[in-house]
Amino acid sequence: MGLSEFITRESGKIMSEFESFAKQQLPAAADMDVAALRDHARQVLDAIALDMRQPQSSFQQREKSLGKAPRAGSGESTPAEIHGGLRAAAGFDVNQTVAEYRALRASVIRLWMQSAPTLGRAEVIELTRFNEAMDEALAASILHFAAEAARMRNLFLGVLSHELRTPLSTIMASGESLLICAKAGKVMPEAAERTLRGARRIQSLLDDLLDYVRSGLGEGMRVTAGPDDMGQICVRVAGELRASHPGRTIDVQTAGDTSCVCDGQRVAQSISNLLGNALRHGARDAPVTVKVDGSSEDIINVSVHNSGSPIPDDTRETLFEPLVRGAGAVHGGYNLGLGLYVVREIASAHGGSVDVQSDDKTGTVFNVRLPRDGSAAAASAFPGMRMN
Amino acid sequence: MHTDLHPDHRRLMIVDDDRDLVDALCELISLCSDWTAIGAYGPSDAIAQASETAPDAILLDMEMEGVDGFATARHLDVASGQRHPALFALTGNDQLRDLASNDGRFTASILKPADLTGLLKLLDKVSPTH
Repeated sequence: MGLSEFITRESGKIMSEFESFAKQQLPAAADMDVAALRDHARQVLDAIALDMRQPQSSFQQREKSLGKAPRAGSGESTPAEIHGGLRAAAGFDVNQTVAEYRALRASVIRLWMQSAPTLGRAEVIELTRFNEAMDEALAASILHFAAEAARMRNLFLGVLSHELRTPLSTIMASGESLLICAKAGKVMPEAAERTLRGARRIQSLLDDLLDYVRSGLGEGMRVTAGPDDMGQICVRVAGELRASHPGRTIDVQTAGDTSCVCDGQRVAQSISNLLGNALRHGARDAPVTVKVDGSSEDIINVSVHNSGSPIPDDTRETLFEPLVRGAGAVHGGYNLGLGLYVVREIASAHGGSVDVQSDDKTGTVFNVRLPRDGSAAAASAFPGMRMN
Repeated sequence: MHTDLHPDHRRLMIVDDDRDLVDALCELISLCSDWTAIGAYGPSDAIAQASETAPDAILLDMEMEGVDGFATARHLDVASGQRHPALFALTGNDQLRDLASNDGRFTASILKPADLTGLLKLLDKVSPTH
């Protein structure tokens, strides 16, 4: 059986071989469901099989080997181009995207050789054409991967700029007011408080941004675990946020033994992010509640609750993913999502986890679960998140 | 923030989902101009207040939680009836600022942080709607 015919007839088998290979090789693919992984790989393969059946002159072959082949139809994207764009949106890095093609090529050739084809001149020509088509698809995919990554970077910078400029506006307007009042001998404690809140907001955005960029450079999130007390950490963070949010109520309730081994500073950063979110998005006339539950032997559980309108279903799934991973971004893209991303990374660096429940009746609760003994803290690092 | 409406003063409604920014701008405008500042903390609050308080001008944040600023601008215009207040777009995103300045509905488009002198100059040019 010729190779192109083999690809068409055995595409089901090739796809399952490709999937198992890809799942072993690609950290980002491990989280993807079969459908998401399969989606465009099959179409890429179909397009390659089709291309192999087209007659090709030696001139065309030479042009293709130089990467000068004419683009098929000017308007529509090829499956390989769509594939590249989607992989960028799904948070793959360029190596992972290339690895998918390697997996696809290896799967096809391995299965074809297993079928013991007669290897004559025609088969060698077909194999060459297969490799050419594969390279062409790979090049197209990478080109679109790069374009999509650049678009997302722009989007990211736009939202970052928005999130920094809003508190900056508050600081500048309050500063002008304070100056006017100082000249008139009046005091304005509210304006001073707003200034501090705005400055703290900018500081926490920059802290999260730094962590995020470091994670993209592959340095991982460094945690230094030591003996600490989750109850005391939460009381301390709640105190800081009360000071910057006068008029708001933050309750801290502890139960059981709240001592644990963790990176106190990192854990405080994540509790502070959760509390900041709850104060910003929750109902203003209702308290925000932090519950620390140390009644289990192995796990410390911290929950942060706020009342108010729930998080919409469609955003809940991507809540912990930064914008670059493709949250629906129209004009009101709103949240960069770095704060929650950092919360999740801090939890997983401790071998723990975070989840969210949100509905009309109870409001929104974030639950952070950390192993009490901190033993997982040293071994962990950021998962394969890249900001290419 | 609902300041008493003075009959001789023109009214500026400031709309943003960041309460601190709304409060800060309202306070500043009240301190250094004879405009009456009215704060609105979100799109629905703004639309409700637009029909109630009949503002002469609206300073509108273009990126409130998931809501398209251009749509909000349309709703605000409708809610204000025949008055058609002067609309100023306020945004932290320069691309959005450019989009809004090319949209005929807006009198001007301002990048955060709003410069006080520039803002007061823009307000000076607003003609009373009644």
